Amino acid sequence: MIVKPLKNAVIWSANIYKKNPSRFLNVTTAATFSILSAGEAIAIKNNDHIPDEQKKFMVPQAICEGLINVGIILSLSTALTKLGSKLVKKGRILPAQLPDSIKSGEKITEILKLKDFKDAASKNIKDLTETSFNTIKAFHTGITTIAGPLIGLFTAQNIINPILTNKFASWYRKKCKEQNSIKLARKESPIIPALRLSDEIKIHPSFSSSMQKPNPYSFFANNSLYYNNYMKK
Amino acid sequence: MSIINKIKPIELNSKFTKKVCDIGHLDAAQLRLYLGVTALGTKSSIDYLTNKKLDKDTRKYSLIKTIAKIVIGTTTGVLVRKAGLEIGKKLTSKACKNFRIAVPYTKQADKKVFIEGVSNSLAFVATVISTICLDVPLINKVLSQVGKKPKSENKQMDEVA
Repeated sequence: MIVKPLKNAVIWSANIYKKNPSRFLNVTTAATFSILSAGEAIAIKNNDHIPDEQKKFMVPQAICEGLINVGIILSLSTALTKLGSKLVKKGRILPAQLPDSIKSGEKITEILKLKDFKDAASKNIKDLTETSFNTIKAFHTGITTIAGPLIGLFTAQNIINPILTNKFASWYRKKCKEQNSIKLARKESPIIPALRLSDEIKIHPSFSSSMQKPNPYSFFANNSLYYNNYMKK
Repeated sequence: MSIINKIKPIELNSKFTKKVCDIGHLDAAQLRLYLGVTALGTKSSIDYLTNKKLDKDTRKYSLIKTIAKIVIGTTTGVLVRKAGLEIGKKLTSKACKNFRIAVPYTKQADKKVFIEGVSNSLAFVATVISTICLDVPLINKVLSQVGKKPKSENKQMDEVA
């Protein structure tokens, strides 16, 4: 019962691959790396052995890595796959062994549109043999694979991604540190005792169980007194 | 488009053409191995060199995390993808009786690409499962082991946080 839907899913996926192998590889690679990054972020967040200071850098680093992976891999790698395809279709990169009459962008584009060599008979393409037909098809797939998954994925995942990820994580960590510095200044500042005291204000246990809340102005008197004494000194 | 038209045509000799054609049959396991091996050099050095403003501990953690992720991810990734590819080939072969996936194409070239598609699809499913069940716990374990040794240099900040 479960086998049939699974089989259908695999056949559906295989047909997607058949239409564009390099795009399939791009998308699945981006997806697996993103899943790994998400899992890694959760694992770091829940790991008690890693100090909080390091977590503040590593968690955003992992999340950012996953998000950037999807964006950059899909955009850059797909763009490069298309560029590789265009280079072959326009006749800019060619196998030297092809007959001279075929070595033009128009002819190659026409051949690449054909599904099978038998279809070429109706097009009446001069000097086209089955070997040349298969070479052009395989050459086109090879160039798109080099441009997309090999150059595109490598550049996106191994160069651009770590640079952007580290920049974002450093910025995020710096932001966290600044916020912590403000907290620290408020706690220990000798210049603004009112602020320092306000951090020490705690709700009295008698208030915690009821809906009543302490009047914040009631602390004002204490703070003012402290401030006046402090200024007199 | 106009830039492409300005490029002078390059003709590759038969040796290079054959290599380019072979690369077209690159499977998911080979691609993962290629990305993993190159990442070990580029990603780890970028990680260490671009984070100069960070304290030593954080840089160390980040570098260890990156290397652990690459080594574990590549090893399990390649093995699992290989297994997925092999299962895919077996499922589409005539020898398989119970769970056989029939190839809906008659032309040899189409058959070959479809079988590659089945293999790569199964490799993807296997990779997702292994990532969640194997890679993440392993990376976490490595980080836990490393985390037991060094202590944060900035204790004051930890207290505030």
